[in-house]
Amino acid sequence: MKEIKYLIIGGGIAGTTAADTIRKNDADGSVAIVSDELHRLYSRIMISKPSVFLEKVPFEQIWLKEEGWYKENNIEFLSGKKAVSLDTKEKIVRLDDEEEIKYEKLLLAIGACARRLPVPGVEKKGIFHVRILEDAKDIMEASKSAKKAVVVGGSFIGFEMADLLRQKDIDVSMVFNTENCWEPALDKASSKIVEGVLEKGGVKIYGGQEIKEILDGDKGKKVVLKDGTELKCDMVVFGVGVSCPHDWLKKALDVKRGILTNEYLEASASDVWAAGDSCEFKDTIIDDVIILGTWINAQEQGRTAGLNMVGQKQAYKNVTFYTTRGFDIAVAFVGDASQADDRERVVRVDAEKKISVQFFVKNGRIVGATTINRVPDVQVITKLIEKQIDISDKMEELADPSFELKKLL
Amino acid sequence: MSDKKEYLRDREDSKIGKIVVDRDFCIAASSCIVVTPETYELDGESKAVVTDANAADDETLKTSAESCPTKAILLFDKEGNQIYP
Ligand SMILES: Cc1cc2nc3c(=O)[nH]c(=O)nc-3n(C[C@H](O)[C@H](O)[C@H](O)COP(=O)(O)OP(=O)(O)OC[C@H]3O[C@@H](n4cnc5c(N)ncnc54)[C@H](O)[C@@H]3O)c2cc1C
Ligand code: SF4
Repeated sequence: MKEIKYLIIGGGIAGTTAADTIRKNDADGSVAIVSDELHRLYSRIMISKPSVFLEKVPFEQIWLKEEGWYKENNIEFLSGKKAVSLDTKEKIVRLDDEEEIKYEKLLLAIGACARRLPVPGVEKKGIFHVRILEDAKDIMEASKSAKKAVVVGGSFIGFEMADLLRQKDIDVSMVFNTENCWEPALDKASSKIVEGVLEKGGVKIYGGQEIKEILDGDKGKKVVLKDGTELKCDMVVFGVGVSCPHDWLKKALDVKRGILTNEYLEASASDVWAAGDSCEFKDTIIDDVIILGTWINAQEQGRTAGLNMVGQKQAYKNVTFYTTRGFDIAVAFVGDASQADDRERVVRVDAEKKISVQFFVKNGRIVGATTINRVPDVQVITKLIEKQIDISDKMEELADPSFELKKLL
Repeated sequence: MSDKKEYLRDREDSKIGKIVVDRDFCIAASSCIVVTPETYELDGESKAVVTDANAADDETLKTSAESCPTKAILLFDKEGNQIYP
């Protein structure tokens, strides 16, 4: 049986950064990355960014490592193989080709999968999800001849894809099942700002709708909504959230939305760590257990996990954010911008100027926020979260768009 | 038009003569800043700007450019040839 000192499942930014970190700190220990994708590390982010999608730069820009990098660093790269079971007592991972690997230390950096809705017709040609490199190629190819597209989902991916498709002069209809777009992440007032710019940008919106089926005809496709509306199109792009591909781990580890870890990113069995989109970790800054889906979070968790695997003991402490631009607005998500029973939402809006900030407040402290067209606030909010400043007597100011957030620091 | 900002570098021990940040591509992922906070920060528009082009050595600077998930950082040698990406 193959024996590996540091075994990493998942070759995205979290897994690759961990491998790199381990190699920099342990020159000799064997390191292997198992990846069910066929490719070396690439930028998942660029799949839905104008640079690659609109061919402003060559597609090759998507690669983040040279092909020779793995060999040069003595990192074994087992691509096209999927881990299918884990035995934490014997410390063995089994792969889908029956190979078994014994590990000393294991990192699970398995990311997230694009969620798939059980809609009849969803497996047909011309229907896309957005997660892996092949998806990017397929969508780019289809969008070369498409005249009409339906985007399903009104949040991050839907927003970015709608923008890119519009930039290619494709008619775009957007369907989502919530009342307003980008809910529940955005509050109603912020959603309305986004819907306004989508409509102004030529996107037809079908909110509060579900898809009954997708039909293929002689003259293209038809997306049939539950209320009977039929949307003719040449392509359909789904962006309806993610799910963590962790069913195979359920017997061996504690998992909820992701793989549960403490602040050292240690999972519930010894010598097992998790990092990135698949890691539901104890965040000691906001004192909560959270799961994030940002590049920098995945990268830095990969680094922390790598260091801890070589014997250090570092807690992961980081407030991350991501920004996206489209239809002439900038939307940002800071910290843990998600609703929970013990969190209150406070919103400041100036609808006319297309500006909004939504705060998620827990025990008088900000734990996350969303902003529209308020990019300069992002770093102030990051600091407010990092410092866990008590703002319980400042709720009115939070809701007042004319109050300068800096004053709270 | 792409919005690029150039930062000249004149360290004697360096082969890199210029750092360019393509502001259109920068999405504020901050990976570059994690590698060398002495070199970059985010400005008010949440785009990376170079605060000190000479702060980091070549190796660190290359790592910072390589860590950018949108390839927004370009490096040029002293003759003006692009060396990354
Ligand atoms: C289209 C798109 C745009 C994005 N844009 C942004 C952005 O602008 N800003 C931002 O901050 N973030 C963005 N993100 C999110 C960001 O890309 C992710 O947070 C980041 O890539 C997560 O990295 P990871 O290493 O945790 O997971 P992943 O990159 O998902 O890597 C996990 C890898 O593990 C593999 N794997 C899973 N299970 C197994 C198994 N059992 N065996 C073997 N291999 C397995 C997966 O196939 C995958 O290759 C975007 C994501 C997408 C999809
Ligand atoms: S890593 Fe790239 S995208 Fe992120 S801040 Fe730096 S230049 Fe911008």
